[in-house]
Amino acid sequence: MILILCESKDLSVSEVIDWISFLGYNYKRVNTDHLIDGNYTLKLNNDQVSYQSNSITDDISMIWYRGGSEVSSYKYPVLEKINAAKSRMIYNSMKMEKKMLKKSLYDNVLEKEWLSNPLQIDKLNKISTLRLAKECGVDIPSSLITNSKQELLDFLNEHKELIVKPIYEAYDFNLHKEEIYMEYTSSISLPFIQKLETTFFPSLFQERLQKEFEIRSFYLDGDFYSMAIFSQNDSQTEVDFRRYNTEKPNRSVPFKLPENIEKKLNKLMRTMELKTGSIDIVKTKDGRYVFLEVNPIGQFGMVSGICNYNLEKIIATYLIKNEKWKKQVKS
Amino acid sequence: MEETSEELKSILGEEALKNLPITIQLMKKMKMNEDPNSIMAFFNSDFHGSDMHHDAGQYKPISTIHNE
Amino acid sequence: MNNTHSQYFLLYASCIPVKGISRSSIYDIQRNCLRLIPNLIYDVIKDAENRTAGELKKKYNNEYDKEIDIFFEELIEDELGFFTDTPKLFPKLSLAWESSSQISNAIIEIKEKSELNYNSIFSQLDDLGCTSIELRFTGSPTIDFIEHILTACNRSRIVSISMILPYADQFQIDNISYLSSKNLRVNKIIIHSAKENKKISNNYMVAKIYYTTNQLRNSSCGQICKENLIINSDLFRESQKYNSCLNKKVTITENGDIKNCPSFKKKFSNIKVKKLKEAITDAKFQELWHIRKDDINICKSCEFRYSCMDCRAYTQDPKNRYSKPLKCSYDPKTMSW
Repeated sequence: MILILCESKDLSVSEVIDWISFLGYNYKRVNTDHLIDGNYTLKLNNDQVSYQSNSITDDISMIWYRGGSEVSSYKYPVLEKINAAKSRMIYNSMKMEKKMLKKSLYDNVLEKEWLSNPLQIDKLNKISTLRLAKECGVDIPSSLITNSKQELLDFLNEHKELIVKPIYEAYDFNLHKEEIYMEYTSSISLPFIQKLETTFFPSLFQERLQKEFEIRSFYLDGDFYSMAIFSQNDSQTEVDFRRYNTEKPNRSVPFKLPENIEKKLNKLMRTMELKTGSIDIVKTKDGRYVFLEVNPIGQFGMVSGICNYNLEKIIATYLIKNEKWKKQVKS
Repeated sequence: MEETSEELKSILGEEALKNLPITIQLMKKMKMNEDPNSIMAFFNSDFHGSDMHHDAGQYKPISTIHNE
Repeated sequence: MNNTHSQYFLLYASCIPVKGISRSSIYDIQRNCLRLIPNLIYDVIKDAENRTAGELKKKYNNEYDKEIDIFFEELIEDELGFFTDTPKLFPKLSLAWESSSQISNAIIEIKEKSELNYNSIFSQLDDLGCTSIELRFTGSPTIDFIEHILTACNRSRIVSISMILPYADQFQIDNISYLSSKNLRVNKIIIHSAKENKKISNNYMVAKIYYTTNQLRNSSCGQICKENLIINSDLFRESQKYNSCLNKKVTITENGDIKNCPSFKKKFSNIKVKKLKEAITDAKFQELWHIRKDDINICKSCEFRYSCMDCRAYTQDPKNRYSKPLKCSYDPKTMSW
């Protein structure tokens, strides 16, 4: 059987599940954000894991890992009666506890076929991925991490235009119910840099690429399903297309990456031992295909819908095929 | 060109901001969608497939018996 | 414009030109709108698909160079197309349409104190992957009964429900809003034969609620008008190969008869004696699913043909299965409604 570890709100998973059922196969879905209120039991003495009173260790040979947000803990008492510092401490320790809770689930079902293995995913980060990409012959943006104003000025001098982005991942916080502050990729100018202190918090800077268009490519075991996004038409999305323009969505169309680019990216994915992921690329006006990053648990719903690739069915078929294969190997 | 918003300065404090990563200094405000059609009606999806947003599967009316 | 001489002009893949007898449309199935264009322009767009701008102008004996330039500039301005050196890297959009449902939508006539087992009907629809249902109530159902029916759809693949109710005293706005807020799967409630026309929709409710003074009967269906046109990727692709209204649809009448739609006389067995799955897999039942807009007289030459719900129940010539829908007043030849 196929086991799916995901978030309760993952709509793409639901659509893949519809295809798995349509094709006549069985699955078990575990919403990892509900491990606390969802009746999760791990019996270490006989290696049995159950969720909602169903065993998720028996008869499973293929696991689809969709990551997902933090385990939700809304049933926990509000800690407002103790002082702020103490409550922060408890909050932090709960966070680690919940992280390990999730890990206990993965560790116990590791001996299966994964798409993709969470332990492998945990090893990756933005900077190491860029380094690996370079080793595989993939073009990457000229990048610099520094806390020095002088280094930054020299870098600006070399590249004329720069952007800054988080080293880890984008952070956000709610202001009110309707408004949210978000980190984005931003372009930075000379006047802004001049106002900085001599040293500042180390940040990741990159050359600003002159985009013809962006490419988002969904990768599955050697195959690429790509979409070109014409984000440069719209100043709101010019630097970072996540700043969605909802009224008039960016023009997005099916795209075929040149073969030599696919070959190098395939090598990169195999080096990272990722069987799937969403790859972000920029096609520059002077003809470069520049790799930005890969999200191992990429959202594929948008690429699938706009380009009509029917990735939901393709993923369902992949999971079924590999489940059968793994089962055969075992017996 | 990008600049720190005045509101962000007042929320986090101008001096404190200077010691935070530049990407934090340049955070941008986004309005959450207030379109009534965006109400997300999620249902319990444990062990189930399509318990999802009510718009799913509705790209056309089921009948034309009523003109809106 | 000289720099585009050796480039190719392409429409974005989601902007698809469709030719009609007197004019053409560009269906924008990403932004869900439609642009009308003269047929001559349709031809130019098609000719440009495998020619550089320079070659295209030559094809028209360089007599319309300026017009062609202006036309492409307009399309770029409106974000319908772009110039590229590498047209081969921009494949066309696949128009395939596939569904993980055996039945995608259903119309169910419902009355209180019926001998039909509605729980079993919903569970059978769930197994067939049905996502959308329309409930047509008759008589004067109580709120409790309606709630009971809606509860039967919980935890199923049925995620959008519209309800049609004949007006009765218990259907005041408070009761109806309550029903809607308790049942998030409901997205449309129509109360007909009401005392006044009104529409209620707000940010706090998923469902839109309509009161209409019209009396709605099965024979009210099949209306095709300008206001009812729908432009989106799913409908556009589905109607390339299938009937835009009847494909993957099933109806269960008050008595349990299984039909393609309530407006047909033809029955395919009864739910009391046959499983839904058996009835709908019968090739005869699926026959009408395959009548495309491209097969229907007059419709096949209409520039709106992939944006309307077809109707096979009420047609101009009931003896001809490819006859134009009776209640469509559009004439593609004269381009008038």
